[in-house]
Amino acid sequence: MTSGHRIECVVLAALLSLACLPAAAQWDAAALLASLARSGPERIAYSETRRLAYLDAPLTSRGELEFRPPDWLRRSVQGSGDSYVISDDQLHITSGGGDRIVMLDVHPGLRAFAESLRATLAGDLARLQRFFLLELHGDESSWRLLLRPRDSEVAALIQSIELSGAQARLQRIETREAGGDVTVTELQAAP
Amino acid sequence: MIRRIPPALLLWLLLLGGGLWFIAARVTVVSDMAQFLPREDSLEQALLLDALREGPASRLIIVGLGGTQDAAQLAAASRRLAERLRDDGRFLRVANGPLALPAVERERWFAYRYLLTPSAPDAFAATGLRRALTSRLAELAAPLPPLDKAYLPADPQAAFRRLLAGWGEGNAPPLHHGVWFAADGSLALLLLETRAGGLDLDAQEAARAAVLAAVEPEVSVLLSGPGIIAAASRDTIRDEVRWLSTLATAVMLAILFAAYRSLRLLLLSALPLLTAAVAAVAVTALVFGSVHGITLAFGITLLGVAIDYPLHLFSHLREHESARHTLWRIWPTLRLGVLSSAVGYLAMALSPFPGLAQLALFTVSGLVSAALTVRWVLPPLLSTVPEVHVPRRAGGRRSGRGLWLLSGLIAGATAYLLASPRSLLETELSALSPVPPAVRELDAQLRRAVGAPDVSRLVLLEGRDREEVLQHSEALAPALEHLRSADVLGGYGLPSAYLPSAATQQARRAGLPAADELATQVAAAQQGLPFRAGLFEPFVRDVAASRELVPLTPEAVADTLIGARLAALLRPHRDGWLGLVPLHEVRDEAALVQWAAQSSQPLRYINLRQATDRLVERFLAGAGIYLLAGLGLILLLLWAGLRDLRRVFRVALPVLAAVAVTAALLHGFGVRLSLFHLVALLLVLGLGIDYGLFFARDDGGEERARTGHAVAVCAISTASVFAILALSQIPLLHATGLTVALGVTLSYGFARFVRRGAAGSHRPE
Repeated sequence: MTSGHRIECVVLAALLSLACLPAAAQWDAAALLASLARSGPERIAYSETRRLAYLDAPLTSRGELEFRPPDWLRRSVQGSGDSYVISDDQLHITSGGGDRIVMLDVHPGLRAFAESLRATLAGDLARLQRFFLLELHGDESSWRLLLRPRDSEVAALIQSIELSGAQARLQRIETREAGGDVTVTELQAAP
Repeated sequence: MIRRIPPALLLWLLLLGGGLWFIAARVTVVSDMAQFLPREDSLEQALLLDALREGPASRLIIVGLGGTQDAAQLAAASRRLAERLRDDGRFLRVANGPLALPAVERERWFAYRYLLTPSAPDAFAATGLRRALTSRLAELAAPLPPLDKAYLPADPQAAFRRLLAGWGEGNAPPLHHGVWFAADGSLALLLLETRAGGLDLDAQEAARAAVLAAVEPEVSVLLSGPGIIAAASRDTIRDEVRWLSTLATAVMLAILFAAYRSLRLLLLSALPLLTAAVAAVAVTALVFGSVHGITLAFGITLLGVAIDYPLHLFSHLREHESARHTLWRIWPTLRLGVLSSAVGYLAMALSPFPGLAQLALFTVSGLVSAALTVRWVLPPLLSTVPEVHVPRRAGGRRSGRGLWLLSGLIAGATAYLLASPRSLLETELSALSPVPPAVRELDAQLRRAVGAPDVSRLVLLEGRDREEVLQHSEALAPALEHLRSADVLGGYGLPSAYLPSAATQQARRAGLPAADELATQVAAAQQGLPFRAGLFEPFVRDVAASRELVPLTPEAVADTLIGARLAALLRPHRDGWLGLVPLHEVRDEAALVQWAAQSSQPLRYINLRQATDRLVERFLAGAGIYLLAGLGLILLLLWAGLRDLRRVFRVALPVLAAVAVTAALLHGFGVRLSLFHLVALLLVLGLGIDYGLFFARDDGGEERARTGHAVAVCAISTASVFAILALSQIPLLHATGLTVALGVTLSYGFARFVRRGAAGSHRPE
């Protein structure tokens, strides 16, 4: 009797665990991107540290990212007042030196760089995959999404971009450029 | 039994054989449009013809890739196509997006950056360097890293970036996925420039084939460009001429068989025409060295009148009379007809326009040899005369009003033409080109999509050598920039933007500091900035190396992409050189003309389009004068031959009326008369005078009926054959066909009308 009961428990546990499996398997890059997708406009403060081979000291800056789904992104730099707006195929630069419009497609590297952030915030997996090979590490509570450029021309410029965060929040972007330069961007929690 | 071959026949066989051998072995056919146009010494004309022949515009090919909605796929196809074509020596330039220099060339240009780009006076002093370094630091701190970051240690002033920016495309089409697209996104676009000139049709055809072979099968491809069009239209002409001539021959044979019911006559009727063609090509090639394609296509058409000569003989053959005797009866009339046609063209042969002269010589030699064939070769071959039945018809009533009526028609048609507010003549050069309209439509569509450089407006600089032209070009820069900011024009392409003059390069070189001096300035400029110590050593090294560089000349860079573009803007002219400065989006031409007139620099503004129009206009006016002169000679000859003013009128008035009414009708239908219409009218004139001359032979009874038969067969066959030509899509053939068919029909009708009027007045002979 007792042994029979134990067997029942084991079977039940096995069944339960089986039932749980599909749920665990669903958490992949697609699920992550879906959870990151912004439904409405959002502003995120950031701070950035850039370590460059050319420089003795790291460059630091702060500012704000403003994203309006599906594909409008502005980055305003604190202090200098410069702003960079990416919309459609254009990068609109407003700085002390005047306004400038750069076509993102002037160089594939520029496009890939812009999409790494914009497509991620939009939760657009397809667009991200068009430019990068994706590699997901960790679990839902602490994940790292590694982007490697598909295009060799882009790869000559950007080695990798690592996005990391917890649950549906993107916290950190680490960009490694081909020359060994590293840029780390920390995104603050939304207020 | 061996019959002696008559010496005339032997000579004819020898000449024909010799002519055929000569044509096969020695004669080259050229298709260079420029050779057909007037020889001109003026600068504008020389340049214009040069531009037509091998200018950058003539070597342009526009490629559109489509067939799928997926822009990324099209962009990838565009990239791969460009990659393949760049390895192909046939193309000077393959552009599908912003300028991409080959890696080897990049190195070469990079080494020369301090001689090729201007820099501020203090650029190599601590102040200027500090300015540059601050800008670079800001770029490094910007969210998007500069793409040319790798160049920073050797080029902190971003001189190379400025050099490349100066070479960029003016107004390029929109970019998607890094390559050019049409505004509606449906086509990925590429611009190609062939190494061969646009009128080298074989090379253009090869270039077209190379593009088609390099495109992947999944995408559809549209191609256009002056050379492509010319090559494609050559094929179209070949195809159309093939089926049109097959059809025309069949119709002709049917008409001739119906008229003569003799296979032998059918075969013999072809001999004069064949002889005419061989003689015409051989003589033209002997005199001019080669035969132009237009002469060939058009001249053969004009020789069509030669088919009439044997027909006159055939229709007049009688049962109990030798062919030789028949010929003697009609020979004076036939001779006068041939001579009057030939004299009409002879005036053209003396014209200074090579195209007209060649065409005239071709036709005259063809017609004369056809007549000689009828005179000497056909009679011996007609030793037994086949029976030719001719339906008999009663002559008409006498009516003296015919000539007055025709005079009235001529006056009316001429008055209508002179009074018409619309321009009579077609001055577009493209009207001479045998391009089907659908092909031109595609070209216009692609050109709009790509915003193709309009190189019809230019500033022209003259100099003793290329160096002087480049110096003039540099001196022109401020003035053009001023015009651009005043919105007179949208942009310009100076030769010196590709390569500064040696003088300028030397001046820049002289301003470069020595290594240790520059190192001191760099160290001072770096003070307080986070750049690593010693980072800019490559810069100091490169500047020092630049002090030893020999300035680049156009010859030295001829093997590069930029050198090739520069070469297209620098052209030898007489003892010196010309610099071409293409102007884009000219908005205020009057201001430009005024500026050019007042400029103290040795420059000239020209509008190639206007110049082309003027050229063709002069060509047509010249052709018109020579046509009129030809007409005068024809009338004189008729007067000499007929010695009776009334008969001259009876011969000439019907055909003059036909020519005038045909011109008026064409104009009424909205057709502008091109060179081809004019020469076709000359053919009508020759044919019509022939009809008139035969009708004017005051013979009665059976002979009169035979003459009527001959002229009717001639007119019906000619009108039918040219009506078939009028079906052609090719403007040249269509124009000729329509004009001749209309003219011949009218000419025959009017001539019969006058003949009926003259009937009954025949004197007993």
